[in-house]
Amino acid sequence: MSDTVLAVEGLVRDFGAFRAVNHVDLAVERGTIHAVIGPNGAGKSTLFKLITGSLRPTAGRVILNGQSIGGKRSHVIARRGLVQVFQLSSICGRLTVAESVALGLISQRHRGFDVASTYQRRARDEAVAILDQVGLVAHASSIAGTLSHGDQRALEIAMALAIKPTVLLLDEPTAGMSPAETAVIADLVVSEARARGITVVLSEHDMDVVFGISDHVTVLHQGQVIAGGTPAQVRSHPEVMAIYLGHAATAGEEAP
Amino acid sequence: MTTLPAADLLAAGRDAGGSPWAGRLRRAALPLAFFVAVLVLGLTMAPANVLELQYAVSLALFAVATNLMLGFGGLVSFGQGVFYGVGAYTVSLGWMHQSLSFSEAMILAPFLGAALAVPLGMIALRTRRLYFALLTLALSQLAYVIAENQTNFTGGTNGVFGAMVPSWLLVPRNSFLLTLAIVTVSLAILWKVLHSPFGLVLRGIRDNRERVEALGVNVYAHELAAFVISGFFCAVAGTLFVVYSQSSYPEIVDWTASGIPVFMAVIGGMYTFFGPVVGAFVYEFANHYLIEYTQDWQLVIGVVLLAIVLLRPDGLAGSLSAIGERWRRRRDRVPAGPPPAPLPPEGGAS
Repeated sequence: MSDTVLAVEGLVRDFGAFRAVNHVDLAVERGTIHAVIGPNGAGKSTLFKLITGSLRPTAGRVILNGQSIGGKRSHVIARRGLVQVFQLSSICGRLTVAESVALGLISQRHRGFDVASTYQRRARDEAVAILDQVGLVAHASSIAGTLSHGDQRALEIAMALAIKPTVLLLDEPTAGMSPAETAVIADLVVSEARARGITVVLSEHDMDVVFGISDHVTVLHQGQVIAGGTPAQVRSHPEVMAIYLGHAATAGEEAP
Repeated sequence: MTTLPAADLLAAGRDAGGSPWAGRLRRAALPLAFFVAVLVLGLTMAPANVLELQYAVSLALFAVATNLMLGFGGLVSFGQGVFYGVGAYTVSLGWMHQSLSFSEAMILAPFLGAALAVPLGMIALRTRRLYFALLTLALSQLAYVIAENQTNFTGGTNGVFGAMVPSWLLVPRNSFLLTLAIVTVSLAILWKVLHSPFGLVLRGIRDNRERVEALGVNVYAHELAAFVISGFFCAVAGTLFVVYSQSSYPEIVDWTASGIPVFMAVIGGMYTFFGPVVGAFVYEFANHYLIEYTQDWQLVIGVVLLAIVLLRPDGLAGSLSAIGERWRRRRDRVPAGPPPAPLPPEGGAS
């Protein structure tokens, strides 16, 4: 039986006369890695913002675990289990790496208003276990703002993991990374998702990453879904080849 | 397990407190030395100077309470004078209208400050950054107008003067000791609050509110809590103004008065707990001594502030800890730096 954890139904978003997202439907199966791809300006980031509640849809619904999360504030959506990692590195620059992850643990356990205990120290020690899994243990006491770009991305994923998400939304997790860093993050996403049973929805420019790790790929073009299916199905989809991969393939052939 | 060396690594970190008592003692050493120095000064100085010291001590609390929002929450408020004024006016109006005894007013005032912070915070925190600063500034002007115009209730422009403190507090040493005790207890509580899970969340919000919100934290509610706690302790500082001056008048809620603790925090270093304390003492004594030489002492303060913001955004305390860090690193490096072979083993240089 299909088990849809996140569903998007007829989502529309207009910016003035421009329709950035045009009647998008999406069904994300529990425990899968679901990629959303498309050329620049296809509406991927807008779609993600609509899902996480940082933008309000013009029309349509977003359903998480059978409940509509439309119009809910972003911290409420995060509490329901949908956690996002932003496209641009977005860390708390003056906190230490361990404190950053501890912040997620404190949030997950509703200890944010605890003004009298030293629970943050226990959380910080616990954070080390998560940092171990994402390969940042050696930086536990470093100031987050001093990490390399790749490490900051890994830290963001660690912060998100700390609040035990059902669905992890990654907006271009490997943007601006070296091939080596990209491989590390891709491996990290796969291993954490499989180990913890987390559903991952990601948008990504790097097609090697997309076709390497995804179970399902949805293709957006000019705000509309033009194709969806397994990586193999999407690869051989004529329209996709024409407007998206087609260009890449031609470019690839011409290059050498 | 692999987490073990990791835990060690963390424990070796700056404030993880590997050996809890040694670490705690080392961190408490400087504040403790400062406290003892102030206490000894207060007990040995001439009465006129004791009063000045007492005022600086009370302003230190005002600055730290304001910095709870500024340095830890990332919220620039020019309205904390409102709560300072609530503290001062509660004591003086309680006396003038013969409705509250001194001790009743001293206890009630912080709670009134906190209670008023709830609605004001709910309004002001709807806005961000510059708009928040301007809105809090407007609130302090509103408080100023109320204090000035409600002549029958507040004494208007002249304010309230009189024998509103018990006679034993007219002895400078007693009033100094009471102030020092209240400020010390308040600072200890604020220290605890800022070194709690709430304090960590607040620092996270300061650095990146969107990120923290995406982690499931209700940022608005946490900022409101910070506003209320700050209001409480600003009101405590306000009651100490009455202990110092036996008066309240509209100027203490003017927006320029709200700017003073912000200056102090910036001068001293807003990213450290004790920075604003240092700032309060520097500001107050600069004020006291500069005024003997120049009418335009505020101009001097302004230039100093500009220099700090441009050159040393971490303030005096930040600079001091940076120097300490460099010194420690150099000390650690010296024996390890040059190759060990040509040096005599365990040279007597250290």
